[in-house]
Amino acid sequence: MQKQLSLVSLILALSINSISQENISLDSLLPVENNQKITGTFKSSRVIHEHSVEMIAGGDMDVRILHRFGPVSDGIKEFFGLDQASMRMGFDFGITDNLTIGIGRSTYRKEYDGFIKWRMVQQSSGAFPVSLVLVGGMGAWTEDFFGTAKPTTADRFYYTTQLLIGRKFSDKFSLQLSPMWLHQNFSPVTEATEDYIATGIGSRLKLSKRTALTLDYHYVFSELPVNYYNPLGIGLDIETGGHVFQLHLSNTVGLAERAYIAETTDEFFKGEIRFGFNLSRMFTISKKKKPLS
Amino acid sequence: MIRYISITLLIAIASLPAAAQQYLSRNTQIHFFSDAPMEKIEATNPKGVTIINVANATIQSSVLMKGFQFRKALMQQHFNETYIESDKYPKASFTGKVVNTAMQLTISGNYTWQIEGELTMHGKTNPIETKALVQIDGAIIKMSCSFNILLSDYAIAIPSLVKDNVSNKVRVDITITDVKPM
Repeated sequence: MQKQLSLVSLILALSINSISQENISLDSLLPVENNQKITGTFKSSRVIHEHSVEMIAGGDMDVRILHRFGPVSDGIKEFFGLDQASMRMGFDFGITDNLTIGIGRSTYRKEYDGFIKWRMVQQSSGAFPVSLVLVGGMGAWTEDFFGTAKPTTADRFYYTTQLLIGRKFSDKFSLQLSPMWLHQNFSPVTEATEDYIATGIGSRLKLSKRTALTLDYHYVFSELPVNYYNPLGIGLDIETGGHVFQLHLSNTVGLAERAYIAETTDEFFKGEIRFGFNLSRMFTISKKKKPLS
Repeated sequence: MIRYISITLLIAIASLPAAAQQYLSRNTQIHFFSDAPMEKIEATNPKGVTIINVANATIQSSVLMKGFQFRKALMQQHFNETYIESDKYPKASFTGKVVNTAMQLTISGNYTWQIEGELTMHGKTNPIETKALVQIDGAIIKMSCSFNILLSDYAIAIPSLVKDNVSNKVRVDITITDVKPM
């Protein structure tokens, strides 16, 4: 009995000793952050022409000035296309981190457009492999129409619906697919359809921390009229703090969905290429100061 | 036989620590501030952890870089992606020693500890010296300290295009609360 007792107290003595000497690793105490949201799939909210899965943060405003110049092949007389410019001025607002609205005005056919963009799911590590974003847009062109048909005001409207499925595969490489449907009440192009089904393919390859190569291509499933082509752009994104400069070569003149899907008249691989740039400047406009913690 | 029992019990009692040797805080708040002509950069992370070992007078802290909250969402994104590269270097850690006084956390009062140590961040380690203010009020222990670091010491490059937006000097404020014996 006494022997057992002494054994027990010996074990007790040893175990107390071992508790007090236990060393706990500091890093094992750090909060575990599961399901981390993947950010920075693209540098900007547009790949080149089309929407990217990036959103405008709640309370921020993105001022976007887009330019597409004339064909480079026009040569020195037209200063390689820079003498003519097609332009869109736009304002995008982040209502919440997952809801963005925007308005814009393009010189091409004097078009006004607006959109609502909703991120349904954000890619997150371990939880969901892609980001899903829904974009609904509408617009109207207001340029005088000199064709035989006289479009009414309602005829000038068009509507777009687009689903963006995007994934950041690695720190450097991102890809998105974006099936879309465009409906115009009236097509200003003769012998063209009023409905277009197309899909966008957008990609980004980061070259350095602040520069990236981009690709933006749309394959139009619906039949395009003769001498109308799929829009394609290849660009370089340069990011400097709150600014993103997107320089690119493309075959598009129009800068909103209807114009580049239905009215791209240049064939990229025949050298009908235009220089263009997008300029994006982010402002924090929400007066409400977010608490720091 | 009774003697043997009493000896083993004595060993058991002797090996019990007189007071707690290690203290832990999960409420280690790290705040940093940098003032450049164009932009003030400020962020806070309340979720750092600290272990204080009284036996050898050491302090260790660790924090996850992704936990820093900024007022501007874009700033937070750039912090993680282009400056601190938090996927590659997920945390910052500090190891230091109190050099001016014997470390204790049981007698109430205000104390100043001179701490010398090393801060590891963005894959680089640099020495840090700072004075920490320690307030002990019974079981309530609070510590705070501030020091400056240079981004260039940690290989965090500021591109010349944004040199007016990002200052090389950053002030770091640390507040440690909720310090409990482990």
